[in-house]
Amino acid sequence: MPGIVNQQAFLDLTNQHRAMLHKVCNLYCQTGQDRQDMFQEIIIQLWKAYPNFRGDSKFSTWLYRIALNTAISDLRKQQRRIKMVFPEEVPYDISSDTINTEKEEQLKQLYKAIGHLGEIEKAIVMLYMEDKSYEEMEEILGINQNNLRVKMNRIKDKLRKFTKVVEYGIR
Amino acid sequence: MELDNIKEAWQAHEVKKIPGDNDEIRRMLNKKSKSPIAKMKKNLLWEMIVIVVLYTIGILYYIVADHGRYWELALMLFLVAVLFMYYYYRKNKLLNEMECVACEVKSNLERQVSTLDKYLRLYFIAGTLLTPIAYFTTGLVVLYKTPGVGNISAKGISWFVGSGIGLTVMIYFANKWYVNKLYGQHVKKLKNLLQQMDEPSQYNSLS
Repeated sequence: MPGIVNQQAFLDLTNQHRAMLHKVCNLYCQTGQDRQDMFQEIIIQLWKAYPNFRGDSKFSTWLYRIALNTAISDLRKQQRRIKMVFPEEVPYDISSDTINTEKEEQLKQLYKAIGHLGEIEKAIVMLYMEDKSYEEMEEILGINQNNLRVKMNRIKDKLRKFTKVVEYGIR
Repeated sequence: MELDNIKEAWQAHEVKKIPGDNDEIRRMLNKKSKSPIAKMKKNLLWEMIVIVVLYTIGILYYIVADHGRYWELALMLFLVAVLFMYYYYRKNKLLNEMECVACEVKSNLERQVSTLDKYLRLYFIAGTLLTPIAYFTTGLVVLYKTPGVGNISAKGISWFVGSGIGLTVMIYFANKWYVNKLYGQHVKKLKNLLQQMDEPSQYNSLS
């Protein structure tokens, strides 16, 4: 049971991957409250599953699976709220000393464009951007690599279209 | 925009952070899950508590009332309560099997869809059958135990049977509507997600 395993070790591992958890919450939630709720739910699910983590896969693979499974299952209760929020108005805090203004603008556009994708496509594009190999993406999502490649090409096309729409304000 | 050109920026950037330090995460570990399955389990527990309380009152009433004249009704209620407990046990077992958060996303979705299908079938069949079973058994016990049962007219029997059939049909449609209202959207959503995983060409959020 979680009570007898090392809580500090769990917290350390979770902290190492916290940025990834934030990205999942940001991709799947529109409001601050939803992000907070989803983050809490992911932490609870991770903690429940932690005693059964045997190290058969990488910790990050295991973490992605739980985070994405939780995020996707959690969508049911958010659906009503999502309809009330326009993705264009969602503020993203994109800031880093290493990113120049042009890249920052591109990232903002990318986030807006990703907001138009389906839930599974969001997961695929996130893993792709995190530089996961197709093999690891298959391990996380359970979609075979050929199918993933086809999907990724389609997603790239869609994002190109969407970013043009965002850039030129075409609706 | 080419994704590969901004991969590095993506990995370096800080998204909107969710406030909370280590202590807050530590506190989260003791909180209860609010996932749809956790909510279904909670609802099931409350449903079971209500049934246990109501049936216990009913059983005690028929044991004591009218000097135990309708004790068979108490027995019948007890048997129905046992059926209900088995029904809740099955539902709880299905809920425990419904999710595997550490599994691949696709296999977890497949598991949810197939277990939810079984769950809803059980919900629908048991919900539709238990009420008419209780109605007819109660009716028969009351008729049998009431003096002058032999004098009941054919019209009375027809009325009793007709009402039972009417009740069954009504419960059938009410249950169908209720199950669909509770879980219809969720099942549709899960199936849609699976479809998105299987068929790259059919899902297009642009359209």
